[in-house]
Amino acid sequence: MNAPFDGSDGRDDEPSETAATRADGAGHARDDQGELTDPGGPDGPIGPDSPHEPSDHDDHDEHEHRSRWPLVTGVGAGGLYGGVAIYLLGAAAGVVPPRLGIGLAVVGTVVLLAGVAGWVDEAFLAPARERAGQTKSRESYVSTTVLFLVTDVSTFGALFVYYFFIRVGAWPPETLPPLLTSLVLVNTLILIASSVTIHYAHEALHDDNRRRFLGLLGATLALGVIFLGGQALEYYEFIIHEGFTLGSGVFGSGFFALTGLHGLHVALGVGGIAVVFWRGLQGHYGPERDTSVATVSLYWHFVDLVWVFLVIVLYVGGTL
Amino acid sequence: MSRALVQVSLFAFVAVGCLLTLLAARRLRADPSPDGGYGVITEREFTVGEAKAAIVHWTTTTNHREIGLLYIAFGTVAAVWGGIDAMMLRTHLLTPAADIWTEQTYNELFTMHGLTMLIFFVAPVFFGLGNYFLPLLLGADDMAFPRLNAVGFWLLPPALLLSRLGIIAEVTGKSLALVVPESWLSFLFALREPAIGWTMYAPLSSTSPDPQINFLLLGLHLSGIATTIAAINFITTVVYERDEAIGWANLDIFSWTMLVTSAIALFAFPLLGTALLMLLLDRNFGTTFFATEGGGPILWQHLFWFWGHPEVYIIFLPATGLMSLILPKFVGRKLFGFKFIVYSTIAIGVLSFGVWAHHMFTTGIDPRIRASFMATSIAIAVPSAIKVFNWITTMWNGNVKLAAPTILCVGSIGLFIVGGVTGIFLAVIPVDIIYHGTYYVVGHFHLIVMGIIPLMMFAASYYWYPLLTGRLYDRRLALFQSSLLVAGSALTFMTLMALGFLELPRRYATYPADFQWLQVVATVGSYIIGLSVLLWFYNMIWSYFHGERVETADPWDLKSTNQFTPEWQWFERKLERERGIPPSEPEEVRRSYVPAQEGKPPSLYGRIEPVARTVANDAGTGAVGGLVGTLLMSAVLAVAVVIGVFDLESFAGLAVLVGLPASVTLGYGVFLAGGMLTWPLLFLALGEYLPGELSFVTGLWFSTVIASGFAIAFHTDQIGLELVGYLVFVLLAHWIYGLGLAGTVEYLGGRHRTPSEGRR
Repeated sequence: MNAPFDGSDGRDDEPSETAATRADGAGHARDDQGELTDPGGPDGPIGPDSPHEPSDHDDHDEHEHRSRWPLVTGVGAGGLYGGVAIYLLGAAAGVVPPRLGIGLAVVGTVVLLAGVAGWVDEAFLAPARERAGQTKSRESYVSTTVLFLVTDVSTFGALFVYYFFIRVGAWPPETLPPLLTSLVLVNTLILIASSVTIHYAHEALHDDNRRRFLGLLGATLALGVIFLGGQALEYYEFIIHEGFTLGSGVFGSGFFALTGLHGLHVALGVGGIAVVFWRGLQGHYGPERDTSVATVSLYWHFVDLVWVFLVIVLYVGGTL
Repeated sequence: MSRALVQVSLFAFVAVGCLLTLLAARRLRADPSPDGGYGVITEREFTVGEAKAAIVHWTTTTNHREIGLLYIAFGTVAAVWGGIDAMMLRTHLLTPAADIWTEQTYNELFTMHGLTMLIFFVAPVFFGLGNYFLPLLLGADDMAFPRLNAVGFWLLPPALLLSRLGIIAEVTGKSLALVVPESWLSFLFALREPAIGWTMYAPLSSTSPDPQINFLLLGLHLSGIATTIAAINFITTVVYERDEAIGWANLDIFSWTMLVTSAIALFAFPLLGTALLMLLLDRNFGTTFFATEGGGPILWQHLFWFWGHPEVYIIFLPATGLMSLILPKFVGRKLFGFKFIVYSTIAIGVLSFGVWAHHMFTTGIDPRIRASFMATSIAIAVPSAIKVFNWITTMWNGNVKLAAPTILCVGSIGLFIVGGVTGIFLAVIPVDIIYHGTYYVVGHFHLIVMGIIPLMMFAASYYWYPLLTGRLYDRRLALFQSSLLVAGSALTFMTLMALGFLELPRRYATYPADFQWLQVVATVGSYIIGLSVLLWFYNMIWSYFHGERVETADPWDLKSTNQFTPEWQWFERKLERERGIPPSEPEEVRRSYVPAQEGKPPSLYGRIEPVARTVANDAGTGAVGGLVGTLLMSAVLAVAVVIGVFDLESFAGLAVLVGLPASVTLGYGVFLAGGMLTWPLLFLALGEYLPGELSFVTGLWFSTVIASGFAIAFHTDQIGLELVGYLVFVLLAHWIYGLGLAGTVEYLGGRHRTPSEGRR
């Protein structure tokens, strides 16, 4: 259906115009900064997500950046979701081997991750390698991260609502496993400590203290990994020794869904911190160049906060 | 008749029809045009290399305009798909029994019709329009995150495929079965389209064995991620990518609505995503989220509608943005009450999260909760009404032009008013309890989701067609198409409302035979909608090759009313660059609104006083004119009394009518008062709409109209020739009244001014 449009519109990407041929431009102000910087030239300011865009606001038609990674990401996500669905089909109806679904999901995940990695590399790492400054304000990235965290509140919200639903019902609905163990206490302390270390790592970056920055960031990464290990240990204890699983009742559903979702977030955060740590080793950051440190650290604090809430509501609140 | 084959054939029919139109249009264009139209265009055949380059181009693009077109194309495909579902639903309902397709098929159709339209049609098309036009309107280079933007789009095709795999698998299986043994294809036949209702209520959705439901849930989850990504991108774009010259005060209305829509989506969609996965776990891993012993089916309804009602506003707000953007262009007036439309948009955004439980009035939730949701649900009508009043006021005294977008805008306002007002009734608990399970609800929400949302998309497609293609569409066909669309929508969904009033339950594949003729009427209406959509396709494709080429960047004459907005300015620069068309200047420019008084704003008294003075003047002029007219009329009536065709006693009847004793004198007093007050005021209010330029002519028309009422009211027992005389004198008396009234008003220079500037 897009065929009728593509003829005349596809062609206007050629950067053929000059600033002199512009129309009267009645409307929003258009300055002629375009003449100062050669669009897309080697010295042009290159933004993290728009490598060719100069500061000129006028020329909508100079988008030469193309990317194959969005399509790869889409295909990968489709593979992952389709794979899960085929696995469920196989497990339920037995018309396909479930392994086929698992295989497709794994391939999909790999493609998905490759797509995301390609995108991150193209949009953020390549400009950083070229040591170009960024045109997009740091503030916009931080705000976007906040927007993402808002969506995350909502993502967690549905599960918390479920938990509150059953908590105000007949309680306890089943025999609960020992929730408040030393493991949870230690894990909580570890996660809070990691929030502190990432904060001071960021501070160290502002003070241009690279060694301290890297050291504290490395510590955060290690603490995150340890937390995940502790989480795995807790699951092991519950599932193998206590026989308490996702399907073992009203509380089990909520417990594993909430902690699992949170664990997934921690794992993503660990991945993010690993990338930031690696980029730190490459020397991508400085006191004025800390956008991704700021965004990842914001995310990490959020994950930490959710955990504290989770411990209070689910572990302590469940035991009471 | 296999449902899947019918559906795929219909889909193929639309697709092949579009393709044939496209090919025919291309081929015909190659012929030298006899009227010397566009003979210079040389026809090239597509080579394989070019096709490959085009595929690479469109799959790797990160340009906001191209992604916008991809979104629109995707949404259009989904719309055709969901539309065919709808046509089949209506066809099924032609007969009271389920004898065209089975009950199961009917359930599948209405499940997937709803989901396809809401999730895969509306939001993608609006996000496409937003992608294309938001950066142009904002003076931004592109969306804030161009690649993320593309990611958001490319998640949608797999999401749609997963969601509708049931039908794809069935048709693939049936086709393959012709060549390979059917036993190899069992996995294809294991999937059926879900038949659980688009709301996917537990426990039906959590216990139905159909494995396609898992695919559906995962597909919807993926599409939710895509929507969330797009929403984040829109917000960051509006907040951070604006041109320096554009602040919050002069941000255009479409960007405002997209911003609020995105903000709602930001909170609504992730919650749906989690709820969908919870349902998936319930279905496959024995969790108890929506099982009776756990959260219960009511929890699903809470979570679903916590997304579902905001979703209504997610898809409704961009339509209001388009209305607020397009309507002023075709009536030559600035949007009335811009600020209040923005406030109402924000108010809807906030309130939309506080009304969800009105979908659950019949589920037995706590009456106190119901009462508070009733209050918020009624309250949310206020901001919507603010919009409607502002749109109507925008048109008032405007220079309304007959064009397809105008018809669509005006039609939408009408349909939306009916859809909206019936919604207020449904928000009232006792009414809802009666009508919740009936077609009334179906009629109500379709008058909104059909009555304004797609209509505004069509309006946008016409309005921006010259900008998108550099050509004009076939305007006569467009007028016909849009009228047909409005008429078809009204016919279909008003009929559903009538069925609802008769309390026909919805959601059933069968119905009592008494309702058949109304169902047939609704089906005919839906076919009219379908026909108009086909005409739209034809117009869009054919005009792309054969439409009149635009020779100016201002095909809608926007410059002359100072409404030449940034996207058209962009188009003007593009035309100049590519085709050397210089910017045009209109012959005359006037402001698109009556400017407020310069200097400090008047006080409340200062604002009321001129209005009060005008009213007093009008009333005074009218009273004097009425007195003159009534006295002249009395003279004519006196002659009639003398001749004997008019009975003076009939005045006594008038006195009785208003509760006075039966006296001729009192009756005449009432008659005189009416002649001085009621009828002059009506004349002043309606005079502008009566035929004739001169006030004498309008006066005659007016008095002729009111004479009919008088003739009936004052008739006593005249028959035969007496009756003829009576009627002649009544008419004469009224004409002289009209002439006296209008002449006096004209003489005193009252409200009846010269034709307003809008009429020129």
